[in-house]
Amino acid sequence: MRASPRNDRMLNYDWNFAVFASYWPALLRGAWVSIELTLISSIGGTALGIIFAFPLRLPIVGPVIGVVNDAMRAVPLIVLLFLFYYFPVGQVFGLPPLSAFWAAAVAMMVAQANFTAEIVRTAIDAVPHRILDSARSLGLKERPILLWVIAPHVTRQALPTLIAFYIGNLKLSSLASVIGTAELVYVARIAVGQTYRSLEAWILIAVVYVVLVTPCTLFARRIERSEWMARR
Amino acid sequence: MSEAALQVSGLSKRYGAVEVLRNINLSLPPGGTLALLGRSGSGKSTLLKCLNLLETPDAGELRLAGQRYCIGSNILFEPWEIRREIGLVLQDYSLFPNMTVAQNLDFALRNNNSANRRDSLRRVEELAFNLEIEDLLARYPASLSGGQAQRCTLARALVLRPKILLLDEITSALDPESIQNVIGAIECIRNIASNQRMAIILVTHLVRFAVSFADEIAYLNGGCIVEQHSSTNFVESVRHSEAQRFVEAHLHAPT
Repeated sequence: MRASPRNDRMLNYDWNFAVFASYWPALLRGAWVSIELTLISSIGGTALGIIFAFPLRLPIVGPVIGVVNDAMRAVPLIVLLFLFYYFPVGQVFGLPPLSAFWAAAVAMMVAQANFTAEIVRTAIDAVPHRILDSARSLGLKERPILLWVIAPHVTRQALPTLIAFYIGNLKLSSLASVIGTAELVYVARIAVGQTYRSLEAWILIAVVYVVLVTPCTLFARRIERSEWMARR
Repeated sequence: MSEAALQVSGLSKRYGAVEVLRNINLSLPPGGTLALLGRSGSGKSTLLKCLNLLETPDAGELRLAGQRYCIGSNILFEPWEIRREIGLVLQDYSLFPNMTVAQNLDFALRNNNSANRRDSLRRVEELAFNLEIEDLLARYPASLSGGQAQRCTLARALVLRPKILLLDEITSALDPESIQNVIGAIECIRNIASNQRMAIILVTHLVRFAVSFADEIAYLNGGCIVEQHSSTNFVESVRHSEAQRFVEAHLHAPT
């Protein structure tokens, strides 16, 4: 008895994952580069974005920064990657040129900062007036109000969105392969070139991403549903 | 002549073309209580916010215990120095949601350098006892009922022992049962107030409560005080037609 033609073809595909046995060290190094890019861009971008979120609310300066920010958010990450990679750092600043890794890290950090500034500004605007009025009515100065009333509210308001962006960064780091950053996808492309096992290679990479991203998603969900989060 | 706790002369405030307050004159003796009545939009809330400088007045003069603190739109002290003396409780739930009730009460004291740590804890306990919120101290605001939250907010406003307490429609967002509950707390505060010689200005729609609680009642219409009488004969003395209609409508309202 013959199997159905479709089944037949699937079974006839000559699966071979064994060829990747020697690629584990390279894959692990690639995964680590992806994680590094994610960490640097997420942490650095958030810090930078918070710094820019405050002037964004000022008169005159605010709208100017706002326009620049909107324009930069319109540029796709892959374009930012090329821009930072080919930016003549040496001629303009007299510094050594950016490596592929640092060009990618800076591009992703800038992208994260653009979005963070906007997210944090909206969160600051969302602090209820009655809460601010109450805090001022208690004779508090602006600094403790900012530190103990506004900041906790903004953190809770912005965190779920920010975490979604951080997880997105892990996936977006794959774009860095186009400028030759040796992260996961770059390793996969090399492996494909050497083994001609495209399907297996991409399945393998997909699994690695699933393994990396899923714990982050679960962690994000726990934070979002926590009691701490409800205190706003 | 004893000095007024709060003296307001010729206070005016406008938002663009709209005159929200026009030539307000008020004098409140230490320990005195004044109820402000008026329709929504008559300027009651703005008046309270001008008094503790959340809004900057445009004209007039404000004095706290004889000390001038605002002339025209010039504020003569740091706003926070004045606000420590003039507490304000708003109509909505305004406890800090990220802090427990105890932390809410303690917050102003903790951030006030002059406060002694042990004294401030004693003060919180004492207020919690008086306002019957001791069993709520460890809870977060989100888990409180409206009435419980307002009692905690009242306690928080008293922590700094203000000379003046402004209460802005603090029962408006509540159901009838909670209103009774909060009214109980306000009456308890009146005892604390008379001990501390703290004056209270209360904005409310509850005419009967105003009559029973306050020494004086003023009616605000279009940013002007059009009537002001002693609470004992307020209802009979009202002549202004708007005020008469308001009192009629609210006197027989439930609660």
